[in-house]
Amino acid sequence: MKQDIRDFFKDREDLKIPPANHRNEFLDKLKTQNKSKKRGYTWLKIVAVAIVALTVGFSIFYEKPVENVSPMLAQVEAVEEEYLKEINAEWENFVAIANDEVLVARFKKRLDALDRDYQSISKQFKSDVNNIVVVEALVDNLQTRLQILKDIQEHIKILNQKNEQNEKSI
Amino acid sequence: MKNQFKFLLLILITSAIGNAQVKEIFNKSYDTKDLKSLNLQFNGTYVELSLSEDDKAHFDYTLEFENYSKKEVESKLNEIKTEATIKEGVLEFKTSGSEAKNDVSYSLETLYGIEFEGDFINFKEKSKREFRKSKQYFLAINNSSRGKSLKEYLKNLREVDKKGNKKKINTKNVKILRTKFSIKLPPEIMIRVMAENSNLVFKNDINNQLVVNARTTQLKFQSIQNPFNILDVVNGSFRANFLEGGSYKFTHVDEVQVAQLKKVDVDTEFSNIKVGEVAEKVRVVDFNSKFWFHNFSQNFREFQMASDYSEINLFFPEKSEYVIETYGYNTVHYWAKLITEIPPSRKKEHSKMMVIGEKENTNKIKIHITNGIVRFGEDFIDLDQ
Repeated sequence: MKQDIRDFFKDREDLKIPPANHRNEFLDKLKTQNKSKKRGYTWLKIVAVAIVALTVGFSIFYEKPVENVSPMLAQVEAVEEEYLKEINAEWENFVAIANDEVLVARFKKRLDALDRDYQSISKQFKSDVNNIVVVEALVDNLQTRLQILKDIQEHIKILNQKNEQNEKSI
Repeated sequence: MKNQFKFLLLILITSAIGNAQVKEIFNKSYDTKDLKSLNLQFNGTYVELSLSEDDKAHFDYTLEFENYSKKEVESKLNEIKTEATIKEGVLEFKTSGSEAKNDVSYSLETLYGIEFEGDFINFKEKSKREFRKSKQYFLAINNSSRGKSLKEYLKNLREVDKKGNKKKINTKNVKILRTKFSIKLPPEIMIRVMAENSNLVFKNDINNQLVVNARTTQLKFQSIQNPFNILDVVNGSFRANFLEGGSYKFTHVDEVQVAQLKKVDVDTEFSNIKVGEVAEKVRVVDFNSKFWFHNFSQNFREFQMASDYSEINLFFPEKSEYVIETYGYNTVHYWAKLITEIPPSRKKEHSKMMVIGEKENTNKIKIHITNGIVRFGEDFIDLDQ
């Protein structure tokens, strides 16, 4: 079974002889192959740039609301809580010293109207938390509620003080 | 690669920033010779009204956007609805959606939000002594029309960065909206105005018959004179130089400032009213408002007031002899160092409480008041008595 490999091709008559321009053909094929490979790499780069740009874009535009609560929203909520506590306390004080049902009813109506206004302004604020005019309107509303309650108590206090003095002198 | 990315970012940035853009909203004129009245309806609008020099009503409404992107401008313009129709002799004009409360409005664009640096809770400390103010003082106040500058607007605001640090706001991040909305009205025609969340400035004296319903609106007038005027104002503010004729209702109006009142009926509730001078035939009905009457004109003849839970601060008339009479019950009167208390009436009957001046005087101030506080003063009134 042993064979000399040098004799192996000697008997092969059908062995093809390459054409005369085979070198040029081979080089042309090589060039076209190179070109197609290069095109594929460029597309890959464009896709990569687009992915990077989209990722950066998403991180800038969409991550923010998830990660951060607006500082202004947080501030206003804290102020609102503080005011509402004080308003409720002043309302209790007012009801305790007022002995006029009509007066209490009118103040209730006034405060309810202010609260409805507040809810409406609050909707505007939530859609545009950086609008300082709306923030001022919210704070004004809370201040007005507190102020009218303080003022009417002061008014009643003046009237009651004088009446007490009168009763004593009589 | 790097260059491509930079270019992409540049395109993104430049597309977001626009230059000042002027957009016309409404520009039309209407002949009013055959019209009975004008019906103007404003919601969220700043508008200046003046008299036209012909028989036409002229509407000229433009907006100027600075630092707005084209998309933002388009979105804003889509929100604004403006229309005008003529039906049965009435020109009806409606506009809404601009949400501009002043001639210049600012809004901020930040990545991580803004913070208010100051005290939300602080109240302005009330002065304990108020001095008499002249009619001229009120005329000057009512004529001033300065809004907040950008510097003032940003004064107490800070931008917050990613780490929560505060820094000054870059003015390049402030979007500026300038409203130029002028309506010129013919001098004779009746005008009906319905306004909500708006700011109306009347630049000229108006003798037209005026019917106004305003909610949460700033109103500023020069002189309004017509015996058939009816103005109903809820919330907001009201300033005028001279009101003559008609009836006025102010409910929950924080600031009513008028230089002079004459021949008017005023109905008020939960409001703060300051009047420079009261002229003839003025009547006021009130519940729980605060009044400042700084003076009375010569020969004011009669001033009448009926009120409950009101606080009345009245400077004695300087220009004529007078008599002041107060009727009612459960009321405290302060006059210099003199305090007079009238106790509550069980039957809730009004009785004469105080008389200042000679009864024979033809200029009379009559105040019917229950559960009230009345302070009188020559040059000043102390509030902490």
